[in-house]
Formats: sequence, structure tokens, C-alpha cells
Amino acid sequence: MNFFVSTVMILVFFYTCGFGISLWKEKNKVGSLAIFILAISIVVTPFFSVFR
Amino acid sequence: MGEPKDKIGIKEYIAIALFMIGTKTTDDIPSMLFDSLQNAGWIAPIISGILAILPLFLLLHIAANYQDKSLIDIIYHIFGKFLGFLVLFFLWAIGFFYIVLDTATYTDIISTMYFVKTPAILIYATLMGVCAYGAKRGLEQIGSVSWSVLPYLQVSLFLSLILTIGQGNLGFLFPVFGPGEWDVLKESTMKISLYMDFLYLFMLFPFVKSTKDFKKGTWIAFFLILINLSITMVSYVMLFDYKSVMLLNYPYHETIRSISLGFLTNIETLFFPFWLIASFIKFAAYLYINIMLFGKLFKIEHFEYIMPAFATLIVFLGLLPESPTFAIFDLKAMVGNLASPLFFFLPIIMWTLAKFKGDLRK
Repeated sequence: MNFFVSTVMILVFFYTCGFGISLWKEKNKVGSLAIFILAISIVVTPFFSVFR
Repeated sequence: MGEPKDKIGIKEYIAIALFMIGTKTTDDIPSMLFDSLQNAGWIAPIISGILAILPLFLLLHIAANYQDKSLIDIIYHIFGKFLGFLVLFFLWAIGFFYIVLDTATYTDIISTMYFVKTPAILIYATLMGVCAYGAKRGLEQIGSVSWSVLPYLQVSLFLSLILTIGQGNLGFLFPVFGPGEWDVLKESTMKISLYMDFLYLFMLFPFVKSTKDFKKGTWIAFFLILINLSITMVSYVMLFDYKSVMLLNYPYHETIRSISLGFLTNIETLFFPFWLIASFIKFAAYLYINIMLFGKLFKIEHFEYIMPAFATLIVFLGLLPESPTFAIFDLKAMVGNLASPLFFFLPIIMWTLAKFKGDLRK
């Protein structure tokens, strides 16, 4: 189960970061920053819920 | 996806509103009301509904005066850029945490009542996967699916109500005011956040065909929801009596487990799929509105790309509480206490400021 969760977490993290980078390139820096915070929360939260 | 290109009609709008708010009677909201109001819990949706008429009326008046602007644009216009951002961010945060708590509740219902051996994370992931897919399809699709399945779901709810009331005892409703008139009034006022979702539905204002449809749809949906909530809660008291119903976390699911259709028992298998469809549509609509708000806040035009991130984060956050049945119940009450004054006073403040600005001429 942990392997499945980790895979989903990593995939979604990279997908979200990719979108954040494209927003940064479009000069939407605030939006890009919000998306990066979202991506970081995806990596951090499972350590307090799923992997504890 | 982005913002919807086509507009939805009155039927779709009413159906979305019914799913978003009407389904509250099938989760732990009745339990919260019975907890403080005992057998008078069913009066709370009526009293808070009467109180909700004022903010709704003001919101409709404001929306009609700012044609083609959504609640988001109106808030920016009235409060200015900085304060408008703060108000909308607070609204988004409350909406987001409510989705986290509500999806966690629905996962808990499914895992404790129906799929007891399946890991909660799998149920949660499936629920959010379906809802995120629905939300990604856009508002038009959510609206048309809502309208096409609404009759079946209403018939299923109506059937369960007939069976429940038929097997219930009318005497359990008395004394009507339970703990006393003053307590009922006070507690019902605190539960006005039951109708808070209308505030979020106002963000869909520019995407409904006409202002007339939006106004008419809001009032029709509001009265249908009020009747739905009250009658289902009456049926719970009639079936279980208030002492038992106060101990139940999910009265709707206990009800469909308790009733029987002649010689047919265990008819929860009949009602469960309908409830599941209603839940999928409810959270698809919630997610769509919340992500649209997030997109508007941070000027993200194609907000559909953040759907997987939101869905994943909701699953991880929803699994945080170790005993969801109790922890989420308390957290939901806390969010409700924050949302109630916001829902009541925000439209009043907006209306007053718009009046001072001279925007309300009609």
C-alpha cells in the first residue's frame, strides 16, 4: 500500500511542479508560487497521515 | 476546461444545489443537530432557513445589480483588491477544509457501514478519483448529470421516507420544542451555515442562462432543500426516538438498515448506490467551485490542471484524524461556527458597501 501511495504522491508532485513551472514561464509568479506550495504539501502531508 | 463556455439552465442549477446541500441530511449533520436539540433537531433547518432568507435575498439583489459578474468579481469590486483577496481567500479556505472534512465523513460512512474490510485509503482514493474526474469534465457536465439522475435519487429518498414514517411513531416528536423554545432558537441560529453553500453557488451566477433563472432557481432549490432536510429529520426521530438518534453518527444509514420493504430486509443495498451517486455529484460540484475560486484568486486560467493535486491533498489531509467519526464531528462543528456568522454578515456588509457606492439602483 505504501508503495502505491508513494508512487501516486511522486507522480502528482511532478505533474503539479510542471504546471507551476509553466505558470512561472507565463510570468504568473503568484500563481506559480501557490502551485509550488500545493506541490510541497502533497509531499509533506502523507508523512503525518498515511506513513505514520 | 477553464471557465464554462456554455451556460447551464435553471433545471441543472437547481439539481446541483439540491445535491450540494440536500445530501447533508444523509451524513453526520442530523447527528449534530440532534445532539444539541434532542427531538427538536428537525426544527433547526426551518429556523436557520428562515434566517438564511435575508442573506440570500441580499445576495440575489447584489447579483442582479452586477449583471454578468460572479460573486468573486463582485467581492473584488466592493472590497477592493487587497481586502477582496483576503475575503475570498478566507472563503476558499473554509470551503477547502469543509471538503476535506466532508469527504472524510463520507469515507468513514462507507468504511464503517458498508465496506468494513476495505482499507479507508482505497475508499477515499476511489471517491476522490471519481469526483475529480467529474469536476474536470466541467460545470455543464456536472449540471446535466445532476439533472438526469435527480428524479431517481428523489424517488429513492421518497421511498425510504415513506417506509421510515410508516414504521415510525408520531408520538416521539413530542414535546415539539424539545429542550425549550429559547434553546431551539439559539442553537438553530448557530446552524445557519447549513445553507452556506448558497454563497459558493453564487460564484456560478454568470454561468446560469439568465438572472431570472438564477433567482427563481435559488428560491426553488432553497425551499426544496428546507423541506427535504426537515422531513428526513422528522423521519429519523419517528423511527428511533430522540435518545437513540442522539447516539447515532449517521442516522440515514442506520435508518435504511432498520427499515424493511414487506418481506424484503437489508434494503440498504437498494438505497446505497443512489446515495453514492449523489455523493459523487456533490463533491464534483464542491471541487469544481473550490478550484475555480483558487484559480481566480491566483489568476490561473486553466485551473483543471490542479485537479489531481487538490484531490490527492484532500485524501492525505482527510486521513489525518486517527478516529474520524469523533474528530471530524468536532472539527465540522468548529468550521460551522466560523461559517455561520460569515454567511449571515458577509452579504449584509456587501449590500451596505454597494449601497454606499451607489451601485444598487434597481
